[in-house]
Amino acid sequence: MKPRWPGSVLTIAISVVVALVLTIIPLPGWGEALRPAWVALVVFYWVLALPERFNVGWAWLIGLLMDALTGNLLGAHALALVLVAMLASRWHLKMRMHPLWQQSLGVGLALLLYTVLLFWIGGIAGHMNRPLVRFLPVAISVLIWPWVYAVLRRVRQRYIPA
Amino acid sequence: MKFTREHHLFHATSRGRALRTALLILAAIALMALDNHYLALRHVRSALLAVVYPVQWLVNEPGALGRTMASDLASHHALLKRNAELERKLIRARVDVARMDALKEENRRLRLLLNAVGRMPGRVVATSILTVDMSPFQSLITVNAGKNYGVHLGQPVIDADGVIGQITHIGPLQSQIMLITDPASAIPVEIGRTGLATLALGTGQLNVLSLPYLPNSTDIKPGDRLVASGFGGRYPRGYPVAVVTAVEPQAGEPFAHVSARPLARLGREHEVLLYFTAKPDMENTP
Repeated sequence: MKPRWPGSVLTIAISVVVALVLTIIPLPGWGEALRPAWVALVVFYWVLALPERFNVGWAWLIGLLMDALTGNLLGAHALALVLVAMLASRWHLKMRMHPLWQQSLGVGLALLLYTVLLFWIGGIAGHMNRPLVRFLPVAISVLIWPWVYAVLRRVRQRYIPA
Repeated sequence: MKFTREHHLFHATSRGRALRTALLILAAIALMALDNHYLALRHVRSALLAVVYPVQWLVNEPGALGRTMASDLASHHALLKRNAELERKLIRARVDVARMDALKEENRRLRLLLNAVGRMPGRVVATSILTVDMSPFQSLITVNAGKNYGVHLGQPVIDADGVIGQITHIGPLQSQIMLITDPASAIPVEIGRTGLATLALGTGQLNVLSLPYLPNSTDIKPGDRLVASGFGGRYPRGYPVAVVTAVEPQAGEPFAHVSARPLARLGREHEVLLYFTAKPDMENTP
């Protein structure tokens, strides 16, 4: 028996597609450096909210799609997103208790590691990097997390019965 | 049991969970190592690109719709004016082509005299841009033509004004182009005026190429045009690439700081041209 599986899969899939679209939608030059790590935020949320249904396996697959989409080394985002999902699943019980701003700290830490990892992989693969520009999105992501959280929670409560 | 068997992979005990995470991490690292050194994963990437095609389509579609509507709404008068202008341009272009034909013929005869192999003319195919990724660390555009158009790796991409870049990844319906301004890009060029060959590197900025290997004494000045030298056999020889914008000799250092501005309308187009070389028959050439 598989109650409510299709609904949750569809809801999660749509949220991931939206995150992917936001990842590649064109922004004016300065906006490019400020773009939040949408996909990592969405992955973080779903692991936090539904750790049994959404887990590192999905994070890995989504990461692979992201690598193809952004023309990166295959596996780079997969690895980085597995890390994010792993941290989220470690923390999910604690995180639910904490107020939002403390959650934001957790998100910040996870995204920092995510970015450092991608930065490092980029360095090994021989891409030139401008470090400071690279870490701006982490700050933006932390600031935007409470809204992402609120929106996705509404979506979950609406479309995925507990 | 809450979950059916096919979900088993993604639902495990806590030890199993740790093992699964470790396996996924190893798999990701193995993939990266393979992808970095071999072409082995190009089919995997192609399959993944097929999966993400709808996402790129979604991003592109509103813009394309807007453009269509804008041209539908353009006034009759404006269209007539534009039409007349384009016709004038066409006539001028035809005159140029006629002159080119004469030159080509003359060139062919001269080459025959010199007993050199003539350059094979290329074929171009226009394709529309799906998405543009212009972060400071990457200049990548995705176009709406992939395996279905016979696109191949390393294929040059141009527009009417200059070289744009080369194909780096190919999917069934789309392919990704690394622009000449990508930090990882280097294009062999020559200075049109003197014929000196060098490399132009991408800087991550859309309007700047850097030429770091020119000695201070090089005869080069702002306004010089750079054309593809054809070395490496990738970009069409003689096709315009950039125009030199600044030359700063560096006292005490061997090389000057030279920068150039790409001539192609990078990041401002809706269409680019894929350049297909008619490959010279290597086997028959002595």
